[in-house]
Amino acid sequence: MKRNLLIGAVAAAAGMTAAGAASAATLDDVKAKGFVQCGVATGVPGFAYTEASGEWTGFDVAVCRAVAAAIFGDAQAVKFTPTTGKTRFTALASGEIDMLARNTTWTFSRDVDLKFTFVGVNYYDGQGFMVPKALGVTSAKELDGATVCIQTGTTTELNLADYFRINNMSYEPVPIETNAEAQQKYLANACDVYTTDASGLAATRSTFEAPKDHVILPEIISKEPLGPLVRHGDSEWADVVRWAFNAMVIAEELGVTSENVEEMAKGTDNPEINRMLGTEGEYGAMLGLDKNFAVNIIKTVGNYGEVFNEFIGPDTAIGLERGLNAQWTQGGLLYAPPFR
Amino acid sequence: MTAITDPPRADFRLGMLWTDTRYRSLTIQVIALILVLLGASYLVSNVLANLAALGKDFSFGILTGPASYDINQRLIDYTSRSSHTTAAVVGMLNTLLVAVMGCLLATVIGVVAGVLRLSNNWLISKLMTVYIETVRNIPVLIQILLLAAVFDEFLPSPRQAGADAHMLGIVATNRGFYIPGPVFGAGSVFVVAALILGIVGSVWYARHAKRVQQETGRLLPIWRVRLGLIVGLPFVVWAAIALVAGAPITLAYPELQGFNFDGGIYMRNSLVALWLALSIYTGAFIAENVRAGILSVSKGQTEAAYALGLRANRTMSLVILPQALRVIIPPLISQYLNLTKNSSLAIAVGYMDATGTLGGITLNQTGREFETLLLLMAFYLSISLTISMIMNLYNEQVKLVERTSASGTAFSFGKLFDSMTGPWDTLKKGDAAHQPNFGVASWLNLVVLLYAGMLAAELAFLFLADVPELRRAYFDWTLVQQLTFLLLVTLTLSTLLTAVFKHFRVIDLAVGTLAMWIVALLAGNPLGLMIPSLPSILVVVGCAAAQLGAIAYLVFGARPNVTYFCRVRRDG
Repeated sequence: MKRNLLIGAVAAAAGMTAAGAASAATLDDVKAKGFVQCGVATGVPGFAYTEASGEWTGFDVAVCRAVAAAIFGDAQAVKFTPTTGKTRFTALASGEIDMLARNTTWTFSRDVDLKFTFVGVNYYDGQGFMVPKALGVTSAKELDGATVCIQTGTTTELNLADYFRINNMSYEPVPIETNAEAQQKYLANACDVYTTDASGLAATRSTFEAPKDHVILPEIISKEPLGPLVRHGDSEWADVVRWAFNAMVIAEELGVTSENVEEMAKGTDNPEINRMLGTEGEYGAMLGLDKNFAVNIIKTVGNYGEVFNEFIGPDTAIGLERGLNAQWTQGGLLYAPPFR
Repeated sequence: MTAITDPPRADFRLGMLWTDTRYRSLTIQVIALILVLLGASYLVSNVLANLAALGKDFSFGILTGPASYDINQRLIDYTSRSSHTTAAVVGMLNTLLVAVMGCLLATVIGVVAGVLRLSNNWLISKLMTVYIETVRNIPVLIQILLLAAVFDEFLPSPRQAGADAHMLGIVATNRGFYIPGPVFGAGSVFVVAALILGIVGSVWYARHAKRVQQETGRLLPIWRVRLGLIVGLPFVVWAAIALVAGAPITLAYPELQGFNFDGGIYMRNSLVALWLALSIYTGAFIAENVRAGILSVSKGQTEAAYALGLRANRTMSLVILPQALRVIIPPLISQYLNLTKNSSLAIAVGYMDATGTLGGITLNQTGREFETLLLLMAFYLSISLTISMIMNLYNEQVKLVERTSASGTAFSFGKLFDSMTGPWDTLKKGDAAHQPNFGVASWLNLVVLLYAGMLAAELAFLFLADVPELRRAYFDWTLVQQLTFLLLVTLTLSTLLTAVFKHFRVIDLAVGTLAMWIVALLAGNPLGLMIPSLPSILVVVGCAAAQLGAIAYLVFGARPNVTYFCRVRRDG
């Protein structure tokens, strides 16, 4: 009797051990559940924020919406998970979210060691410093001894340490969890300087009561290529996200906009536009999507330039110039691979 | 319970494991143990399988790489080029700092509030009730954030505070509190020596006064003399040197320089907010424990003390509190543990404790959640166990020793030498032969000092010496070396604590430490490098000899001190 019990227990335990292997086909999972689970920031004006209606919107959010439009033809088929600098990678690695579009810097260790795939760069950025004008500081080299607010768990923390060490200056770091807290501390003068990506500084400054009283110092101390990312191990899913984003960039390059995309989808003289919009070839099917997936993206979300101008461009409160983020034909770095 | 009087004569058959009540419970326990082990191994293999599926391995190697981030509050040398291990230690020391400060302040607040809540003064007792009931019922995280927000928003920034914002030399800004700090000049060593002499002298005098009172009933003035020794003596030395050669120790006041104040001691708002909030919160719980302890002493005791002519404060300190302590201490332990663990909320105000460095930035920058969180749990576990061990030893001292306790029959290394030292008897508090002890005395002081020094050197060797040419990082040692060294640290700590609390187990633990010292040497740990300024062989042999001496003293010495739990040589 005892022996039977024992053998049964061992067999049961062995059976349990055998279970449990991660499924790789993210696209199938997403299609089955009917929406994309997308990780975004907890709130950065222009990049990821909620409107009065509670809708998530912004420059980073647009990437999530583009992916949803590509898969479902519906830019609203997204559920958002707000993540902090600390929680974002765990959320993605654990499968809690399908993709992360949250001003995240593409680095070697994140790509290789943390096992993520960066599918592209949607904003070329660099780390800058913001100080109150009243301090009279004109260069980051004058910041010796300053108290600096930083968002903890970001690459800015490491760049900052290197910059001050190389320039032989001392500083007092004040680690902070979210952008909103940093803003409150900075405005209360609990720190002299706020540092993060220059785009984030401009975005934050735009929400101040008196944006003119704060200056962004000219020094950009790092390269910060920000882009959407997915887990390693599912190249098909990475391709979907990569080409949903590339479609937006190529559309701008080729002059396809949300206004004229319907017209162009009927067929044009330019074979690359035809291939992208699905009137020529079976490119959508190669990704496992409809052949008019790019039409859906551009119709509901817009091309890269439209999205840029809508959320963070010169006419918005954020007021960022295209700069490095112009098309390669305009002297910028945006250079999407050909749609062929 | 089985009532078997004869040994089993029948042959043992396998079936009896189940059918015979003598063996059945054993069988069931073995089966249960196997199931538990199977469950554990399933969990471990599941974790490993999932890590492998994510393409991750399990390795602590990452901790030896440079941390690359800066930490504002650091009690030891640290730059952004130091290793992740050093960063973790900086965080752990910050945790310990706020935990120790918090426990001290919480105890003061708790005792005062607890006693005052029992006050006959209606206003005071109601005020304390309001404090306790309010603070106890609001989550501590909210209190921490509230205090931090108050500091941030209502205190001026350094520039607004301006150059002449001193209030008694203290500057309060929304970045932190600057208080005057001592500057040690030439001749300051004499003042410090006078202070140490004063403290030693005052301890000696207190014991002397106690002995005089026990023997003759005469009360010597205690507080005046002790204060004179501790404060007066260094002051006289300071004044004498100041007259001859200029003040040896001066105060540095904070001055506004550039962006911030400079000089003096800087306590960051994150630390102050966390410290105060934790102390006020935990103090409310301790106040309730104190009140319960005092109420547990029957009113008759107070009346009897009054009838003997004792004044109210002496009644409290000599009659009520000693009896109340045995009720207060056990729940006090868990309050200290709570405070220590609650300090992990530090990240909410940006205080870089162990959770902020090891479990925060290091975790994030290396992406090794599993390893860093395991280490973090091990850290909190060992801190909590140490606190609870210390408090349990203290509890042994204050609790009532009753007839059934302290039998002292368990095996001890000291027993091996009974034929040479004579048999040891169990003494209890209240026995006529039992001499009460007031702190650690005589040669046992040296034993305490030896193990305290060893522990400090071992911890410094384990963590602090971030010099690659001196020794490799801990996680690069072989597994045997890591394990033996950790065991050595644990045993040294245990020996130190048992010596401080005069527990007789100090003998066994001292032997264990010496044995582990030798094992660690055999495992290839370069223990001689622990004190870099001395020759290696001298450190190794000298330390072993000192330990041997300590053990010999504990076994053969007059040993008047190792009495609690309570084995003392029989007279005659």
